[in-house]
Amino acid sequence: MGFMNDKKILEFFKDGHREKAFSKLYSLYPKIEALILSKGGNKQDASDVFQEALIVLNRNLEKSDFKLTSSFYTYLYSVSRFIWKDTQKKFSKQELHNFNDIEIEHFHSVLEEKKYQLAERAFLELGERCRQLLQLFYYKAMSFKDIANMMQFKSEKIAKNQKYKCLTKAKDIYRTSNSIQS
Amino acid sequence: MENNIQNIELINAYLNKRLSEKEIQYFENRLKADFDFNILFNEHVTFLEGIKRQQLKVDIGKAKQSYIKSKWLKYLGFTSGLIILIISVISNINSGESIIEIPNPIKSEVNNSVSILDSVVPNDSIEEIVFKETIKTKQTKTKEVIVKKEITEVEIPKKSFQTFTINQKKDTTIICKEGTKLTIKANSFITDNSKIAIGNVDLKVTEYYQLSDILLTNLSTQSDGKLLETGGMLNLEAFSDDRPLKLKQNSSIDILFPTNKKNMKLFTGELNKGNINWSLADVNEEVEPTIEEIEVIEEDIDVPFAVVEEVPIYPGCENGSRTQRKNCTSEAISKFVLRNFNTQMADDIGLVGRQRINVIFKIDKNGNIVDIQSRAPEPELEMEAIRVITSLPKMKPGKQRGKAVSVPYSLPIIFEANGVASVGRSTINRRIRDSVYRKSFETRLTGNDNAKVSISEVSSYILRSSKLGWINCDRFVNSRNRIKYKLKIEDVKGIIRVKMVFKSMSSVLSSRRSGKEFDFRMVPKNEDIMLIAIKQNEGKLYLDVIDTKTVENPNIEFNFKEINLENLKSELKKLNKLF
Repeated sequence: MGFMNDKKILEFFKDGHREKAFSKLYSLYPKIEALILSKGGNKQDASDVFQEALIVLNRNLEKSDFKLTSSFYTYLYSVSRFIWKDTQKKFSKQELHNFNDIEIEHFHSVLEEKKYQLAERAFLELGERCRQLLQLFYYKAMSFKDIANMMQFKSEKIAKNQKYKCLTKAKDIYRTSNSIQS
Repeated sequence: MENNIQNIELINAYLNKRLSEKEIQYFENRLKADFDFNILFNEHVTFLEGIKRQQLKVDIGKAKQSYIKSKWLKYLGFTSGLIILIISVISNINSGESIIEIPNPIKSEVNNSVSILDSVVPNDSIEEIVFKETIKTKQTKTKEVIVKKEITEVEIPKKSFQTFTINQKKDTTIICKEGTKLTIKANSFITDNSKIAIGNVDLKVTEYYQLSDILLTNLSTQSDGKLLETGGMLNLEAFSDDRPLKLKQNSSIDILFPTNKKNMKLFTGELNKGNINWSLADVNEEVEPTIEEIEVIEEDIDVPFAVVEEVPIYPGCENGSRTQRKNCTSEAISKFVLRNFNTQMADDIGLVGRQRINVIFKIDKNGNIVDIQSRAPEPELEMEAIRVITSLPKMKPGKQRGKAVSVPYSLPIIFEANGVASVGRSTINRRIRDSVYRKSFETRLTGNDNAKVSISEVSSYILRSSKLGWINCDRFVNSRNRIKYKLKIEDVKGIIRVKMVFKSMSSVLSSRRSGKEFDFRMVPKNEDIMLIAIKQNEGKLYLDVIDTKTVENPNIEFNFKEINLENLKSELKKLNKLF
């Protein structure tokens, strides 16, 4: 995948065609798969790691101060390596010491993402209706009126109340899981 | 709480860029100055990012599909190229003939049809092929399941169900053999086409409280890889004239699980490749009833204790001025809580230092204590606070403009825990109190019409399910120290199932088999466990049970011994004391 391709993908991201960008980036997947397989993972692991690396990439691209200093391939390869190592908990002190600046940055992104993973997990522990409600409100930006209609709440106010309850519940779950982790 | 809602709305407005420049500045200054607000903001953003991950995963999943498709396309592009080549060769032959018989214009038509094929064929065939692929995998999967089922049914009989015939026209309470109590409202069951089932309904209930029953039925207690502790599992099915029924929307069954365990929640199970996975039941089931309450309360008025004209009056506080009555009541409530709160309980669960529990409840129009909510760092503390508040005596209701109103009351409970576990005395006390509490609660649940059950009381052992099928009363087991646990079995002929039973809690894990490896994935470290391996091969049964601890890189060799079904059952029954 050459420079021109990278530029095109970057444009896709900029124009909000995330899915197109991701599917272009998938052509790098076989290489990442080979990496994970060589480190003792299986195909499912590889697929999970690659997915995570794409999420980390997307998050960083959304930051205003982020600049992709390498090719997508180099970036995803490096981040994937960190993600896999992190799941295996295989960092020696020596290694952490020898990181260069870019590696430290990648490593930080991977660690940062774990916070969001926890939040996601808390979200997933909610019931189906709560998840749907929160997604409609936060992701689809639907109004409570439309949500009440769609999900058959008796009124806008009840939908709103319910959303608040779901949110509080998820945050409670997040907080407890967070305190267990740390 | 109201304040919190406003803050979150404000944060949403900020994130969606709906604030004016001035408001933005004010908001950003507040972020710097107000520590709590800053925390709330960051937490909210984190949470939204968490939700976003879900959407990203969907996008990535689609991207992956289209990547796979395009790979196919390349492959198909090649083959369909071949096909088109062949077609055009054939058509050339045809047109070759047609040159003789038919004049030119028609020849060009033939060419056209080839070019249409060119664009249509690959697309269609891709769709078809991809489609066929998925169908194929689905078919093989279902076949697998059926095959396995047949074998298990032949060799290890499943636990038999109990059938109860109930009359749909009435509310019904059923007590099953092992103590499960089901309360079902009238007209709860509907047929597949959403019609209320008429006449008698056969309810089939299978109870799984004994470890042996759980093992024989190949059940386990895990939720997406996380370990659960169970307080009992059920399988519920309803039939009318042998046609399966389901529960009507918004109706539910109240299930009493006879267990002493605390903080149990409702999980529903799904079988996947013979293993069961449990997921936390819809939060809605707990939330919905409170929403109904909100609706009712909107018509009534809530007047906080601090401002209500006539405060609710604790028995014995009837005399004196308004202020005196007010102070007397709040003192009496505090004293009552202090006297009855079992602080020993905090020591028993190993808490040290200052403990704070925030409790909010209402004294309703009739003077009853309702809507108890409790927040504490430990669920045990929350439950204890709820227990104490529930037992407050009935009061004289508060009044506003001469009309009885419901009065919210908030009460922080603060005490010091010593962290020294004492010898059982208080736990015994507590158990006695619990059982008294349970009894009164049961009478309320099963008693007549107006008996009201608040959900917070229910959660420990009575759960409400809006689904039939596999139902489990569980809690998550959180352990800090987890390790990977894999076993190897050399001689893998036949069907082998290896289960891990934890001695310290009612948990059973199943392993995933790939080749010779049996993978339990992540398990808590240094737990006393029993490994139970059952093998079915050529009509014979084999068993081995190993008593061990969860350590890294276990070195375990099973030594399967042939066993007949009766002995297998009795061997497994011997393990029942573990639960």
